[in-house]
Amino acid sequence: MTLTPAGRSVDVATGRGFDACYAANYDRLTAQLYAYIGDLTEAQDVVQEAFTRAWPRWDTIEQYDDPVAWVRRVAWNLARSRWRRVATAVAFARRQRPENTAGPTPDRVALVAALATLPVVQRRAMILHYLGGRTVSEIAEDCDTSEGTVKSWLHRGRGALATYFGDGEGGGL
Amino acid sequence: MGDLGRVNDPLRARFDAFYRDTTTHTTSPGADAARRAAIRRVRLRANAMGAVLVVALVGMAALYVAYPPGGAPVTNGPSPSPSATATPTPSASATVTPTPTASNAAPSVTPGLSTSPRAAGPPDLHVSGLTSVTLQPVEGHYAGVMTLTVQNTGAKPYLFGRVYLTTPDGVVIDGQSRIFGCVGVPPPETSACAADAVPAGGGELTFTVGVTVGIAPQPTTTTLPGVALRFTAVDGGTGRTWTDPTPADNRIAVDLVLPAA
Repeated sequence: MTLTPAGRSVDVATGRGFDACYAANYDRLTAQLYAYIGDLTEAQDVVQEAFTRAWPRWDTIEQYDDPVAWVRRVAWNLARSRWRRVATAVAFARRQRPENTAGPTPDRVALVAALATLPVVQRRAMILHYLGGRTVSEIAEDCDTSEGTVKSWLHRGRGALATYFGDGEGGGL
Repeated sequence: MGDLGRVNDPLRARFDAFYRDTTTHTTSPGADAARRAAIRRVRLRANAMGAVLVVALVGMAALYVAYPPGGAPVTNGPSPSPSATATPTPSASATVTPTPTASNAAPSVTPGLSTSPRAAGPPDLHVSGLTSVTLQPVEGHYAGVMTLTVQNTGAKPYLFGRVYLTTPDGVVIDGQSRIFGCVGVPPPETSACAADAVPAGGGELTFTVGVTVGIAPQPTTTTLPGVALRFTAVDGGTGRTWTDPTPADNRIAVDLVLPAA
């Protein structure tokens, strides 16, 4: 059991409490933002900032059909704003910078480097699909665009990454 | 993965490996850290709002002092008549001292002045001073200084005082101590000024008010009545004027004596 911002106890086991949402989604969101930003520490800061903003209004957010969507959208918005991202990272780093136990593997670095070659919209669509598990329609909603556009982004992104890795065009749309 | 194929997708394996590697080698700060940060921000925001509120209240109080309701702002005693345009030099004002006339010296002792402070209650002001002040001819007009002593025998301190001045045409208030921020008020009084608060429990303060009269030196002595000062106390919490238990001795009328040149 834990407490909501309003002091009401919630059951973590339901997956609807703040702590449960945090535990279930922090790593997933961090991986997505890391792939997008290319800096793991900064990605952690952005996700933590999103959860920090969510907590005071969690009573409202947890009523949504998909509470984590609010956190994810805030995190992505933070990531897209470089100024806010840097300010958040600096402020947060002063308070609590988590320690990473090991350096990145070559494969991880390679994927980040490959994603960095994609246009921003393609990169975001690829990450939301492959790391976020979002469908085309959900990505379209997140990006405020049409499904056809998302399919185009994914197709081009997959082609670019396949070329980058020499994988060919396997698994196309 | 919904509407995208997963079979034989080499990218899928790369992303899965990426996810495993990332989550293995990261440590989250924890939900408690997010909660603490949020609480800290809420407190900071509340403190900031409190500070803004205090500043706003202080600003409103300052505006109330400078611009009391019903008055138009003026500066240091506006000249009510064209004859008062002559302005004495500071040195002239400094050299002129109030001179009580023999006939009016006795009433300068404040009547009914309490000698012991009240045990409780609102500010109780008592004004004393010369009820007749002899001015001196200075550079084509008359000038002098009125000196007043105000005692507060009430037990309740107050934020600041307000002095209501009554001046006939031709009389200009020109320099004063412990009195500031004068503005015009409707008749019968002429202007209202803020004044330093007199300490409660029997405290005293001396106020000086420079005055010039726009009358050229005359061959005979003339007495100009009609100058008066009324002291009140203002409560800082409400901005309202305290009701003085003995309002009669809050006001003093001063005759200005214009000696023969």
